[in-house]
Amino acid sequence: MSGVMFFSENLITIEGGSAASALVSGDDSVQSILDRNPDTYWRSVDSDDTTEERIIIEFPTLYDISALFLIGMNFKEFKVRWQTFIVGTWNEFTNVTGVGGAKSGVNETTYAYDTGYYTFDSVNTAAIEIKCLKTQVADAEKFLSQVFVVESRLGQLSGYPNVTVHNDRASKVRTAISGRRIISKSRELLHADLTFDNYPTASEYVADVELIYSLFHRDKPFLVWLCGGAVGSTAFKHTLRGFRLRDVVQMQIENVIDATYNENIYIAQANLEVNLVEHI
Amino acid sequence: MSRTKQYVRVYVTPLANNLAYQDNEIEITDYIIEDGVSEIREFIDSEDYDFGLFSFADVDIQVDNHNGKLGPPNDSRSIFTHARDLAKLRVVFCSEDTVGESITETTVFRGLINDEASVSDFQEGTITLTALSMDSILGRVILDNGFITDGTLASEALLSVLSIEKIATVFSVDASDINVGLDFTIEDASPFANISARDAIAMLLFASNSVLLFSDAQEAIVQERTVNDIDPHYFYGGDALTGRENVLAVQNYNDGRQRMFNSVKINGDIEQKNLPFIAEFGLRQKTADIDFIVDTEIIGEIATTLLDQFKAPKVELELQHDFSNNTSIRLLDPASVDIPLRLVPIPGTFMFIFDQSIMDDDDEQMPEEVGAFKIDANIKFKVIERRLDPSTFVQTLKLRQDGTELEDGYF
Repeated sequence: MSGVMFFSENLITIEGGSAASALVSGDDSVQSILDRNPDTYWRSVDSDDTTEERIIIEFPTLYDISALFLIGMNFKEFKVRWQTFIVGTWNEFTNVTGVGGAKSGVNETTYAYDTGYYTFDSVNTAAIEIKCLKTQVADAEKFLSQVFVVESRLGQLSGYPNVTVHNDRASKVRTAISGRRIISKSRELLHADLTFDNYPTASEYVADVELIYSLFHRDKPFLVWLCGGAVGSTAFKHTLRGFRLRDVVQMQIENVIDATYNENIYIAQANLEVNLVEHI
Repeated sequence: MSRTKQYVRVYVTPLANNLAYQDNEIEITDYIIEDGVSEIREFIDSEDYDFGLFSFADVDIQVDNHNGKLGPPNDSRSIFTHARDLAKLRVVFCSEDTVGESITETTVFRGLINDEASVSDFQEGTITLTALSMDSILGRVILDNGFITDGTLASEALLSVLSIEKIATVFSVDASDINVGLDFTIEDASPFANISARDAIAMLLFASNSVLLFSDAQEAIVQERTVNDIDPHYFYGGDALTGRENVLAVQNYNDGRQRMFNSVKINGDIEQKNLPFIAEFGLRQKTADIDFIVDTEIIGEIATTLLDQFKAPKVELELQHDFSNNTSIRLLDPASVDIPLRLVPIPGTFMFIFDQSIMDDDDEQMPEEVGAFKIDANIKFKVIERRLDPSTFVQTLKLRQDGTELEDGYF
């Protein structure tokens, strides 16, 4: 996988009416996986690699879903299934692709990353189940920070625009009488500028520009995954904040798009820039 | 919340004759200059250092008049065939879904064009129409001598004034919607002779500890200052634990002492005061004259009622939110504001979870709290002012904590 990836907005939020329950342990902290706060976690209680923890997330209504993220976790052996409405049976996802490639269902036995990502054939469901048996450090308490579920992947860039990531603390800076500064910081925000400079004219790159315009015309926010699933030293020598596997951020385009053709030649390369900002 | 197209529409209903309006509204949105609709405001008791004032939205609308459609009635092209003054004007906030299949309209202003304040710009070919709120009709009507008689209850007097024919052409009133805080008998009605209906209403509202509101159906409602009995509107800051956020800004937060009165003195010599509150907060006195009541006991009862309402300082603040996220907020609606301090876990640890974590567990520790201010979600606020900016669709609410004692005003 490579190239910036875009998804429709996360469907499961507390505000939207979704609710999580932990059926084995940690039920007091399980709502944290829906609060969009990377500092809060569900954590098991007195668990080990012989105890299979089970979390169920119920949606307020039936959703069509085709991708999900498990963010900020220490799971090694785990599975995720979806529930058939009314009947109540739990089913495997089909035609699954994860960070490591094609999968048979969302089933892992030796997972080593802190974030899981899976696409699958779309299902219509009102609940998903997450089961975890083993942790990456043996017999550790299990934890999970966020779960995102989306209807669709909106697209992935084939090419590589210049990406400038802005890590923003929304700092308020005041100057004291001594001349020293007093700084108050807020939660970390992620913004990104994608600059398409001399962007090639081959059809796959034309599709990239069309994808950007479709996002521009989208009224709802969308998830942006700058790393596109790429991970490890072969992909990044320095994994900057914003390019980590766990950096899946809800964003919107805030700027006016000023687009030009090189030398004003209409069959030449294109130039444009979009400013993505983190959205509520 | 997904974003949709948002815009305003403006409608007028011209007069057909002196006492009746035309049957149909006419949309004039296309004539509105960009950003030509001024801020819309309505409030009760929200002016600092006083209470008992009420007013509703006044709005200026700048329109293009290149074809004379919105000119005065002496222009035969004008839609105002009888008079432009007192024509009804309605401003509507529209929210259109992403595919334009449905439009949700919310009326944000109803008023009457005030030609006295409207200004024409001959150079630009524009007119700035000033529309006063519905209650402005009260200032156009004068009460005849004897309209209110001795022995009339305050509630009856309010109903009579609000039912005057010219006033009734603008809004309706029903006896069941007149519920004053303190109903008293008017002993000397002479102060009500030959004054405007607005002044009479103001005197009666003040003395009866009541406020005047208008429903969406243009009905006048007189009630106490009690918060409406509905579910609260919820507002969340960026660090609310549920991950919700809908507050754009909080301004002018204060403890409410500027609207606290621990002594009420009427007619110069009848005073009711709360000594413990005076000792704690210092004397803050409201003076007033009520010349339509002679019985000092009744005047004392009025003073006591007003004192009880305003003796305790109550938290106040202004909060900004995106109007499209909640278009149903009305004056005296309850509200909860959840703006906690930001919780920052100790590096390398998980946040302490109540009912789950174990004390002295190295892995789960109490987080640090960071931030300058916080507002607890269990404070019960009521809306005492609304200001809507039609160019940005940002609404500013002035909120005051409910209750009359130091310890009340919580959910």
